[in-house]
Parts: sequence; structure tokens; C-alpha cells
Amino acid sequence: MAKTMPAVDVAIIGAGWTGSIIGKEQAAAGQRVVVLERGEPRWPSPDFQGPNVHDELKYTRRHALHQNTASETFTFRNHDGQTALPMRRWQFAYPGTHLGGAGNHWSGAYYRFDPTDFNMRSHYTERYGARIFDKDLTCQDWPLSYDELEPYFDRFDYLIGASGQAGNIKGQKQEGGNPFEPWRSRPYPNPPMKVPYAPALFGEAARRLGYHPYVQPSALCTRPYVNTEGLQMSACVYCGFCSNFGCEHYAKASPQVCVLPVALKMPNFELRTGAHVLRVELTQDKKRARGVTYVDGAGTEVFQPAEVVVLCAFGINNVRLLLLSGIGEPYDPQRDTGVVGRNYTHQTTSGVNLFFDESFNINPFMGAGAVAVTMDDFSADNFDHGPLGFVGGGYLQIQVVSGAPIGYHPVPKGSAAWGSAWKQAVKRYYNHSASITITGSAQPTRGSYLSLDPTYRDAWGLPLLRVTYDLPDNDIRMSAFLTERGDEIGRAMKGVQRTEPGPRKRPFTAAAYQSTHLTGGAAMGADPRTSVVNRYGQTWDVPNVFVTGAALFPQNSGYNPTGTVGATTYWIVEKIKSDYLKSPGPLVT
Amino acid sequence: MGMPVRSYVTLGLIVAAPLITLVATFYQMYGQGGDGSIAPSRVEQPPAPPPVQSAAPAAAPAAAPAAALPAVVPPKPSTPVPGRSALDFSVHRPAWEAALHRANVDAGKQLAQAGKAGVQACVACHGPAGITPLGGAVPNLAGLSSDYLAKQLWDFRDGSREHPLMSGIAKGLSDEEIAHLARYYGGLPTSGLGPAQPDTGQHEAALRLDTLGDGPRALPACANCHGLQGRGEGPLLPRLAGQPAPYFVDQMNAFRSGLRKNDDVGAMRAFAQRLTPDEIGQLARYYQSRSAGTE
Repeated sequence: MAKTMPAVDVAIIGAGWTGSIIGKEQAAAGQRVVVLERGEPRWPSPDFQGPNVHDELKYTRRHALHQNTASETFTFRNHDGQTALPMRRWQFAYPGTHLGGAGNHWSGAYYRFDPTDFNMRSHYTERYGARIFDKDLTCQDWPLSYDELEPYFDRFDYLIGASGQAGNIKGQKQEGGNPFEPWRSRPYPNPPMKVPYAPALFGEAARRLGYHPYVQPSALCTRPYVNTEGLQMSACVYCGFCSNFGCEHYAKASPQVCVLPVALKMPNFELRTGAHVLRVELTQDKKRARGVTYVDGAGTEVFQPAEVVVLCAFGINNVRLLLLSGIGEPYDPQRDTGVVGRNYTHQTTSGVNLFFDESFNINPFMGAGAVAVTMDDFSADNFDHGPLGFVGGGYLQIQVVSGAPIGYHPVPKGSAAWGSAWKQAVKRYYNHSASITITGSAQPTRGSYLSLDPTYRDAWGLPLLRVTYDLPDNDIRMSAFLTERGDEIGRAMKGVQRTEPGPRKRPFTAAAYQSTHLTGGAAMGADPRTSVVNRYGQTWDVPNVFVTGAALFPQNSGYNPTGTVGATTYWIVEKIKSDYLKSPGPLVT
Repeated sequence: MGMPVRSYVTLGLIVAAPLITLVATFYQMYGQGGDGSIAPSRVEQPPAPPPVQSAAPAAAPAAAPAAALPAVVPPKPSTPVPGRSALDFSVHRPAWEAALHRANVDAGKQLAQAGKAGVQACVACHGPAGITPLGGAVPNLAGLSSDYLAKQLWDFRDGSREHPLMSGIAKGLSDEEIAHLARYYGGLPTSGLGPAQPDTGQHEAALRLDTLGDGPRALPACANCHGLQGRGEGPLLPRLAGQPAPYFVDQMNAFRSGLRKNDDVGAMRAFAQRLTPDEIGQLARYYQSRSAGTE
């Protein structure tokens, strides 16, 4: 009954960062590529040009670039004893949709994971002993190292025109950079961003306390730049409309600015928008994918035959596609068997709200999604975890993201919640407050996982993805520690009259935004018993299906994911080009 | 060798002010880009002194040959540039800020009207109300932001913006005098500033660039920074509306040639390289026909 399209070499699900890169690279290698994007085409011109793009109601409140919860959402519960309920409107994360996906509406905070993120289990065990890990934690080593990925990090840096000042080039410490930075082979292609007032105050206080603050690296371009695909980028103007928005200045790196214009010029590369993939179709023995079935914009079911299928949807939606397609054994936390859905994590964030003397004008509207002064003194394993009794860490920073009128009206606790007294408080504090943001690592546990929901279905009648998650004790201890450090810095900052620390508490709530960094569920590993894909993103069970993106992370780092997503994507596609195309089959046996 | 020549020139300026006015007028009307024509090849050429001979008057910009498009050169990947230290959180304060704080409108008015030794009166070219009586490549200054005006004079003085006449004039001004002038012109009303020229139609490309930019060349809409129909935005993004078309063309040529390099991180220099001569001509006429006055 389904219409069948002419066969292609590669079918890619999703036109975000990973799908765009894989598609372009495979097409350049001579493969016939189809990229299936469920959303609509969205381009900087005309879609994101001013003044229309600065529409907070449309993009932030009504989620114009986020997955439409009316047709497809997640259900959530804290533990197995509860019945999960569907999220009707996004609070805890903003899964992307439309061309570019979350790689289009992201903020541009740009980090690489720390080397110890890749050997989490063995590194901490070696330094502190195995007892540093709580029993419920299932964090594990990646099957590849930072050193192996470095050339691919570098490649992504130059694709997106990353801005920053190197702290460590090939092991040599660099003046003016972050002293904790892992080694890199080249400088950043563009200089660091300018520093708004609140981050500058944070940097001054943190340095006074003996820490090592620095300007956060970003994917917001800081000068006219031609990237490695020959595409032009322009300088960020610090308008403050990054997170949830498309960028009108060609300054924020996105697939439609940095990759897709080149891919679309190739005759063997096709982008099909409005194509919502339902599942990967397998042969009867379930050892091989035949292609994918999707629903097109007219509602027709279409079968697209392909030699290789690459899952490049938003992070954990790839896990749902695996479950819906019957690829890999679903994780069962009771019996601790199976792998698909295992090691799901979020990002353990917290903050300290700061309220200033009225002579300190913060101007929160002068910022950008990734303009921050940040510090890594408590990131990764840069500090002694021994006496603290937890693993992981996070960065502390002040980032001036936006003073958007609907969403931003900070008032101290105890202020009136409505009416003229509230308005007076907003007037008093709008220009005299800031927040220290703490972005921490997140450890997976046996009880936190992804599965298909037994009750709720999407617009096509398929089970929704169910998120079962609560914060592990380890992360609660980490958050308390990091938030206390943040509060100390806040109290040391000039002009600050009052601080309100907000460490992360249990139970985890899906009704508050924490980050869009939903990771794991299709962990990359060396052992098929604890991972879904091998070190090249190839599924253990179906060798012509590959998975990309943050679903591969065995646990989440304290650093934002996109840098590592980009690097692992190049790593995967290079292996496909160099080995898989010559000899299709398992790349790791 | 520089000093005696310079003194001589200074003396000459004092003695021969009317003559300079004449030359200035001539330059503004017929000089570099002054007739509205565009020099597309200027990108590759070193800055040349303004041609004294009159160019063909009213040559249509559209006549520029298509072969001169700057976009035909495939862009090369950029190489890293040394940047600011990531450990520098110092707050940037514009050099002119303090002087502008102390500036005096009346002192600015006096200087604008009478000039001083070595400095030609501004009104000769820019008009007593900040509206140029000359046409040609002279900008209307009335109501431009004082910060913008102060920055431009500062930049003429330090060489990051060059102009055969303005560079010399700015070098004769102190910080305080620049601030006085900026305060004065910034405070002049824009009500007298109708469209410099009536709408001549035929600027579809300009309208598209102003409001939508151009995706294939990664050009953002002009209006993103310069405001609705070129009305200007914030203290440092100048009004384009109501500026004479030859002035606009002149500035785009200056960005292309590097005579003007006082744009933040080279943003305008990069955009100007990607515009065709025809588009620059259309944009010039489009902005000239927009109303600069407040409504």
C-alpha cells in the first residue's frame, strides 16, 4: 500500500548537524543520499530576517522551532512505580524540529568534552578507587579516547567558525587561554567574544577568589569568516536572540549556514522536508535494514529503500526509532538486561540568582546565547573529588543570554507574585540582576532509562517515548557543592546585595527548563552487552544502521554536547567512507 | 621634511579658505564617486587620490559591466587571527565617551559656523542646519547620533577612515572640539530632512536587500542593523535614509577599497565586497528616497 521511491545508497533521518554533515560527506564520496526531515525548510533569508525573527511569543513561548507536542511528545515519570504522563508543552527541554533542528535554534555554547569524560569509569577508579562510584551508577568508558577524536573536534571547529582563545596547543599552555583546556591541534579560527558587564563582574570576583575564569568559547562568529566548505559567516551583533531563534546575521553556526548550501548543490544529494519517518524496515531475520518508511507532507506513507540508514534525529528520538524498528534489545531495568534506552541522562544544572545595587546597570538585553565568562576549576576531574564523595563536575559562569520581555522579569523571593507590587519589583530588578549558571555532568543509573510508553501514542498511532528519570544521589551532592561555590562567588561580586542559590533537588521535575541536553539511550561502547552501537556508531545488531548524536553518550559531561556531537559525526562518517563502503559489514567484530 | 610642508599647508588653509570651499564643493559634486557612479574594480586597487576631472555626469549605475562582480572569486577558507585574550574582561569604553560627556552645544555651533585656524567651517559643506546644500557626496549630519559623529571624526583623525578633506580637518580638531561638534550636530532636528530626492522607483533589488538580504551570498538584511528603511538604530548604527546617493556609493567604495576600515570587526567591508555595483547604486537611490525625518 505504501508508495515506494527509487532506491538510494544512504537514507538519513533528520537534517540537523549530524544528518547534514553525514549527508554532505557521503554525497561527496559519490553516494546517492536522501535526507528525510520531518519539519519544514527554514533559511536565514527570508525566514529569520529582522524584525520578524525577534518574536519571543512565536519562538520561545509557542515553540516555533521545537517538536510539535500536539503530534509527538515524550511522557515522563520519576521511577518505575509511577504512570508516565505526556508533556503537553515543553518545559524541561526544547527538542528541535524543522531544517537544522536543535542545531538551528541552539545557543552556540561550544565546548569539547574533557578527556576524563571518555574514560569516566577507569579514570575515577584509578585515581580514587572504585568506591567513589555509588552502586546505582552505570557510567562507563567510551570505546574511544579524546586523543582519537581530536582531529574531528578540530574539523568541526573550523566548519562552524568557533570563537575562543586556545589554552593548550599540542600540550603547550597558551597565554590568555583557559588553563584547564584539553589539548587542541590549532587555535580557534576566530577570536573570543566581547564581554558584557555581568560576566565581567563575575570574572573579576572569581579571579579574586583564586579561580581561573575565561571567556566561553562559542559558535557565534566574531568576525567575517569563510568556513571549510567555502561558506560565508558574519560577525555576531549581540542582539540576544539566539536560544530558540534562528540567526538573521549568519553569525550563529547552523547546518543551513555551514553545510547545507554546499550539499544541496550536489546532484546526488536530496533533501526531502515534511518527511516524518515512522521506522526503519528490516529484513525478516532482522539482520539488515531495507530502508525506511515515512509519511510525507500529504499524509501518504512512503517506503524509501536504502543500502545504509543513518539515524540523525534529535538526540533521544533516535532511541525511539530504534525501539519502534526493533533494532537492539530494549533495556529492562528490573532484570538489568538489554541495552536500548539504557544510560539515559539529562544535564544537572543549577544556579544562583543575584540582585544588585541600583547603580549597577546590567543591561540583560545586550548579550548572546553563548557570551559568558566561565570557569573550569570545578569541571570534570580538575579538582580533588576524594573528600567530596561524588564523581563529575561542572562549570560556573555568568552568561547574558537575553532580557526578553515575556520571559525575563527576575524578582527576589518573597516579592509579590502579581499586581502593582510585583510590577514595582520587576521595575526595580529588571536591570539589576543576573544569574550564575552551573552546568553539571549527569550520571546514569539503573533506574533511569528510555522506553516505549504503554499508554500514549503519537498522531500516527505509534507509542510515545517514555522518559523515566530521577537525579542520582551523586548528582545531588555534586549540585550542592557546585552551587555553594557559585554562591560564594556571587557574594564576592561587586554590587551584589542578595544571592539566591538554587541547588538541584529531588524529585527531578519535567515542569522546569533545565537544558535541552538529553543524552544516552543508544550508548556507544566496546561491549554489546552494555552498548547499542560500536565505536563507529554502527548498531551491533543491524550493521547497515548507524546512530549519531548525543544518544551515543554513555553519560553526560558537564560540557554542552554539540562540540562532541560534531566530532563524533565526522569520526563516524570518515570510517563509513574509508572502510564500510569498501566492505559493508560489521566494523568491529 | 613633513613639518615644513604641513605648516605651509596649514598657513595656506587659513589664507585660502574660500578657495578650499570651492575645491571642496567641486570634489563633492564631481569627485570620487560624486556623480553616483561606482568603481567596481576599486576592491583590488590601492586607494587613489580623487580624480579632479569630472566623471560623466549621471551615468546610470546599472551600466556597470557584469564582469566586474566581486562575487565571482571563490572565497578561500579563513585562517585564524590573533584575538583578544580570553582572560580580558575589561569593559570597553569608547575613546570619545568622556569628552562627549563634557561637550557643549554652543561651542559646537560656534566651531561649525566659523571654523578655526586650519579648520574649515563645517557649514560650508554640511549646511547650517546639518543638511548639505551641495548634494554630491556630502552627508546630512542633522540628528545623527552624537556618538556616531564623534566616532567618525575620531576615526578620520586616526586614519581608520580616510577622506581627502575630512582627514585633514579632523587632524586639526582636539578631543573636546570633536565632542562639541558631535553634540551640536547630533542635536539638530531632522524635521527639515525630507527625502533628499523624490522616489525614482526601480529599486526592487534594494528593497529585497534592505528587508531580506540574500541567502546564497549570506547577506543579512540591511534593516537588521540600520533599522527600518535605513532610519538608523542605536548610537553607532547610522541612519542611511535621506543621505545623498553619491555619498552612499562613495562610502561603499571606501569600504571596498579599505579607505574606510572603522567598521566593527570588518563587517561592512565584508558585506560591501559581496554587493554588485548595480545593487549598490540601487541601495543608494533607495535610501536617498527614504524619509529621514521623524514622523
